[in-house]
Amino acid sequence: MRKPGLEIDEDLAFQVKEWRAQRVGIALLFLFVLGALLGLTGMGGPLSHGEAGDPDGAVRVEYARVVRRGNIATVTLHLRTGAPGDLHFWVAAPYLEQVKIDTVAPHPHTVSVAPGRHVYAIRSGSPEVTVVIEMEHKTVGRIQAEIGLVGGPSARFSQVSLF
Amino acid sequence: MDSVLRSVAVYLFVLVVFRITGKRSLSQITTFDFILLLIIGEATQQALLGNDFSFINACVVIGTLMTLEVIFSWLEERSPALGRVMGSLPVVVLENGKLLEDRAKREGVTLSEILAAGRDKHGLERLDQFKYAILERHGGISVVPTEDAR
Repeated sequence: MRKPGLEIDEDLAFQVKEWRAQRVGIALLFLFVLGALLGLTGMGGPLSHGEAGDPDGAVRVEYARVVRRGNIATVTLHLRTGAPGDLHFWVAAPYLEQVKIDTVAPHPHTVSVAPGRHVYAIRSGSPEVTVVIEMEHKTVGRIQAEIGLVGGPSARFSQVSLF
Repeated sequence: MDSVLRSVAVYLFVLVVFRITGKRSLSQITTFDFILLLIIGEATQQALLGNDFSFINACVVIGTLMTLEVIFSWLEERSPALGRVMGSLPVVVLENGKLLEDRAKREGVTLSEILAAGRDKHGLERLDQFKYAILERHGGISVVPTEDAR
């Protein structure tokens, strides 16, 4: 397009489309930030918290629905065995292949390997125990997990790990 | 591989964000805008490097970013349409002393910014000394003074 005395590569038709696209893009950016605020991109937020458990409540797992690869996320287990003493729980091996366990609190006195799972033993003076596992996620995508009591019920849950 | 993927992802995200926020987001306007650009640089640093602060990782990241720059420049050269999508076009926002309000509003350019550009580049004092004011692709404002004002 030319104006008197001015050579310029102006294209108003394209510019109108660009302004429209920018409005859409800005709306999407706002939605992205809103989603992050709500927890859809991990690291907290009202929509990021998930719970799974068995119907009797012997195993209850609190976890983050969305996690980020390379970041530490927490899984909290609420376990009930009915009697104080050693408590044995297991974590499915496929889950452990996708995460790196950083800490388990309380610290288990033994960790052993059984077919398809790792078994942790914790000394407990109470029939109900809360175990906090901090782990670093190594992969991207959907992660299926299962955690349960040895000889008892288990809880399944899934997480989405973002790049 | 991870470093390359991170670099590509960050490059594309920053490109898209700056593209959709308009031409003015690319040019330094105020101290706050300058600080914002610094903060964005800091925020992307961790995403690019992750936990690996080795020399070779820095080389991979820099190499990837520059390769992307070369690829996009090559593509823009071969496709004017892509060039427009990637880099936008200049827009005349003032003509013969009259502000084109709709265009200026859409691009976030104010009359005071145009007058400041006129003073800065040509020592212009009044609006009637402006023949054209153009918002360029890089976000800066270029001014063409009238014959009398030159």
